[in-house]
Amino acid sequence: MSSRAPSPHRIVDIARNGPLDAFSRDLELAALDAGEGEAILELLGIPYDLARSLLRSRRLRVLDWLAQSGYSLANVLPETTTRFLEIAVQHGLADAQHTVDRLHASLERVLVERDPTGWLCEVSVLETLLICARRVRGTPRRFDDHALVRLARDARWARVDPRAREAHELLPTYDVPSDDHAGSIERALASLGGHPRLPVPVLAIGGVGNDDGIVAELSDWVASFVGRLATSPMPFRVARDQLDAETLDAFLAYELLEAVVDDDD
Amino acid sequence: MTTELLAIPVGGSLRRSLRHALVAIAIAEWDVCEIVPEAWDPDASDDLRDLDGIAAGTLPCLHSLGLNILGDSPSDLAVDRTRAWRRRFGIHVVSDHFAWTGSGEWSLGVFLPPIEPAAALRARASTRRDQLGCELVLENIAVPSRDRSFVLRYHETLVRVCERESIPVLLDAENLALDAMATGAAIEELLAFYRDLPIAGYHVAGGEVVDGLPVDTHRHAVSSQVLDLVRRLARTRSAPIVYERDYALDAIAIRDEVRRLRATVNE
Repeated sequence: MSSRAPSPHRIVDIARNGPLDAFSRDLELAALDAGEGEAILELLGIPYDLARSLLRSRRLRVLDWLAQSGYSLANVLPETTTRFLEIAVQHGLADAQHTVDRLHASLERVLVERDPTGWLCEVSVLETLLICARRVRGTPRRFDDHALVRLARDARWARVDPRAREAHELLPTYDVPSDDHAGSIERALASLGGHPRLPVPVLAIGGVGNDDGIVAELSDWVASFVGRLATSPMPFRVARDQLDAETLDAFLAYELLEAVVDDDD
Repeated sequence: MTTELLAIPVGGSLRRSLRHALVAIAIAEWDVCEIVPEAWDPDASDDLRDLDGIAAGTLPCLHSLGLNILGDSPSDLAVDRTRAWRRRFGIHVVSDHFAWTGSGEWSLGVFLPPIEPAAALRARASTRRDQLGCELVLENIAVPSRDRSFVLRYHETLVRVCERESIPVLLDAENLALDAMATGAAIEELLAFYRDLPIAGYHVAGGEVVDGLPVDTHRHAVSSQVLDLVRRLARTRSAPIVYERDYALDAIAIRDEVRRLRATVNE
């Protein structure tokens, strides 16, 4: 028997679990896709109001994941749940990075209202980068000198004051009672001592294999190089020659370079 | 002395994120402390220290969220850690929900009411018990639907499976109240299903109404209706009562709620 053939037990399991698999798949698709999922929910064979409630709960698990993975502002901004569910309906939740970027954009006005100094917005930008660093990526690749490379499309960079991390780390890592929301924000921002913001280039990339991702401050020169790499692919040899050995190793280890492949390939 | 013997044990569930404050409160005040086994690492020294303290100071109970009782398979993490903590504490029982959480490659992280016939559900519960090598206790979930027959069938099926498999129930009083509210059924109608089933414990929590449907959010204090209900139930059929809170977390609020619960049921 070929090693790829399923065992008889597995065949029985597939048959027995078929309805559960189909139900799980349909609910997951409805939760991650944009829209209210009416068509799929009606197929589940359970009361429609229950299906809608399960859909909402499944979507909110994604928000829980974002909050636990770095977007701590979700724990102190009560508007987050409504905005998140609106994003789920309008855009779907298939990509965590896009979702958290949309959440940040949707909350921007709220953030400014809570903190006109702009620091809270700065914390939000940093927290979107922390979500990027939670991604798990493939194994590092090597390029030959002539390979055309660009900045990996799932790398994110932004200008953020690194001190925003201090405020982020003081925010609660779990959902707190509503009467503690304002106090939690106040305590986190107090760590910054009212200093003006001094944004610097920061880059985030997911981890490779079992390693964690990073959110790293860049020197102006590396930031400028990253900017060029993001917009203009270049031969690997050119990229290599512009970086010192340590920076090149880091670029390769974190898979910051990505080969440009023709659409026809 | 007689009063102490008759006192109903009361406690709370231990949230890992509040461990620094809640472990001390649990040891000092709770008769019983519920632990989600998969949330604690039996190989981590600080987790061992905290949970050994709990085991020495109060009665630990293991309540998993990841055994996927009515699904195709449990999470490996939940099984491994349940086994490890069971061995460490000498516990022979673990509870989880009469529900499933996913199948195949889809792990949904929400409790889904069963969609299979009772015979298949019995087989799944029995298989999971064998897999764990210990006794199982099953809890009723809230079924957020106004469809009365669907909700009643859920409770009927749960009881039938538990009876046939000799599985005690962990009766969630909040979920019963939410189901009654959603369907317009009387609490007594739902309770009647459980009349002859052994009760291993009670859960209470504070839910809320979302989009017109009551939902078991574990975000609030216990309502007076549920408090009255669990007091009545526990006085008739005594079993430990555990307060669950997963959102709007605050150790002092949880401490105060467990105190209020204890005072109410034992007054």
